[in-house]
Amino acid sequence: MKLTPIIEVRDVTYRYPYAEQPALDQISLQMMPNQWIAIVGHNGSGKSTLAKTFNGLIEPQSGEIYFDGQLLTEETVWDVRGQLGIVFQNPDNQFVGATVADDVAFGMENNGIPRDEMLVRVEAALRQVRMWDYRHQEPARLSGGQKQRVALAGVLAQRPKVIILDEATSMLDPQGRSEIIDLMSQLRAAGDFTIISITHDVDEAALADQIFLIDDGHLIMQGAPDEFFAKSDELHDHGLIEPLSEQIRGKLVASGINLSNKYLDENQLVDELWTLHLNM
Amino acid sequence: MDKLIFGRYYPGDSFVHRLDPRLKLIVNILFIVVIFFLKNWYDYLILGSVVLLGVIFSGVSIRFFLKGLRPMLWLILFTVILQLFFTSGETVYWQWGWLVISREGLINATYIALRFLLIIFMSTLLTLTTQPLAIADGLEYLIRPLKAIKLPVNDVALMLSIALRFVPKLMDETTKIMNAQRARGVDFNNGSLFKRVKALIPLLIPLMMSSLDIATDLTTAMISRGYRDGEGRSRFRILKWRQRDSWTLLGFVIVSIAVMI
Ligand SMILES: Nc1ncnc2c1ncn2[C@@H]1O[C@H](COP(=O)(O)OP(=O)(O)OP(=O)(O)O)[C@@H](O)[C@H]1O
Ligand SMILES: [Mg+2]
Repeated sequence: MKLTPIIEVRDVTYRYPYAEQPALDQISLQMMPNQWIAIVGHNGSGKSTLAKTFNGLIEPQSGEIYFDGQLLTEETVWDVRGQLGIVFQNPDNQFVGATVADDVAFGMENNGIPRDEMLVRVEAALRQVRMWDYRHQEPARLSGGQKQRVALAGVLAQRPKVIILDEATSMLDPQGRSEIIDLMSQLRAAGDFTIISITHDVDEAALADQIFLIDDGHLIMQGAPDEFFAKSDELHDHGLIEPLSEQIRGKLVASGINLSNKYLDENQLVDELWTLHLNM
Repeated sequence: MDKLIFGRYYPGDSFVHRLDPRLKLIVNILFIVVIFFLKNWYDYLILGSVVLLGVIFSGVSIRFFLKGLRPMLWLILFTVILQLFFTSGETVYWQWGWLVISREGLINATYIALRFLLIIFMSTLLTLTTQPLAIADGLEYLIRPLKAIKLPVNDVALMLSIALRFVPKLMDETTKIMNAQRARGVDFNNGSLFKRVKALIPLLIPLMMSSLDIATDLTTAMISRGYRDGEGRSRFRILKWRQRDSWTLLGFVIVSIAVMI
């Protein structure tokens, strides 16, 4: 039995009004359910634009989007918006509610969820992102990282099947970032849940099951981190630098040390290095 | 910039703060009606005491109410002077061509000044003790009957609350752009009137652009989170009408009837 992709993009082209180059150019890809997916690519490569096509915020001039096997149309798009949440790149100007709690409830209000249920979910979501103490605050008066947490809580409260984080950890401190990443892993372990993380942080991308590299609105390559980062030439061509452990591995191999020929994360590299020593 | 917003919300937990925004709105509307039915000094005294009571129970210093008065000062002065010099009457104290100061004019002018004063104090009491958003919520309830004439009440209410919320944001934006333009040598404060008006152009155009950007971002976020229109939505924030609201309303209605008859 073949698994249905949670998101499938077929030959999608999109050009912003008055733009010379299309932001997405005949792009096709498939994302599998219950995976952690990373999208990487340099500034302006089309990542955010791609994400906006998934729930119909942008309507491509040609091509189709399928969500869980269902073609995205004017009729189905509202259903998809309930199941796919996006935390946007710029945390300003995405708050509708006057207080943190109000804002977290906004998506649920749109879906007509009863108030008692909302109260429970708002509290749960705000506690998950550690922002419960700020529930009466105005979102505009929060720090950038706190805003991103609240925006994430708003998406979590809707209990979507897919969460897209568009550089949504870029403003978090290292502890905050690992908290959010842990939270995402827990949610994914708990059930039917796909995470799409758009990121410039290769270490974060290395945690994913699948990585997609986008450039000029094209899909350049895709793969699990170990194959993906091993292709360092291609990465460099598209403005990416592999994670530190991979750089070190490459340099060690180049200077004649006999390491395995695939991507190793930091711990694996350390293990391999000290066991290498033992063998000598 | 803060001067522009008349009677900004003053956080607190007083009796007046805790009253239902709907009650405060209704009382304000009734108050304006009642004020035009007042006939003698005693009536003004009674309504004045009602306002004073409200001010005391709000726990907000009188200074903030006087601040609310300031933007209206010229309007009051203008109206009062008009009344004073152009009301003819039987007992004339002073006359010069068109201009007359009569007993009736003096009384009318005083009444008008008092009316202005009372209305401004009462509405400042509303804005000082009620969050803008609560006012919007209250208004939404009160305009509900207009659904019958196909007014999209829910959308109007959301529009209102978003607009209210973005006022401080736009103020910040204005200050930011003004500073940026000052750094480039624009002088907003000196020169002829014409020069000063011209200096507003490099302020207004960037302000308009950034407002449009904000609106675009916000719309995208709202659509992405499933907002279609006001129909079929549930509500997270609700208003609770309590006993103290009923008692306050009853008290106010009794006083109103007493002064009107
Ligand atoms: N609203 C817009 N109007 C016109 N052109 C746009 C708009 N948004 C993006 N573009 C253009 O589309 C292309 C892709 O932009 P996109 O925002 O998808 O890039 P990105 O990969 O998300 O970049 P970043 O890493 O900086 O977030 C860019 O060339 C950009 O200039
Ligand atoms: Mg982007």
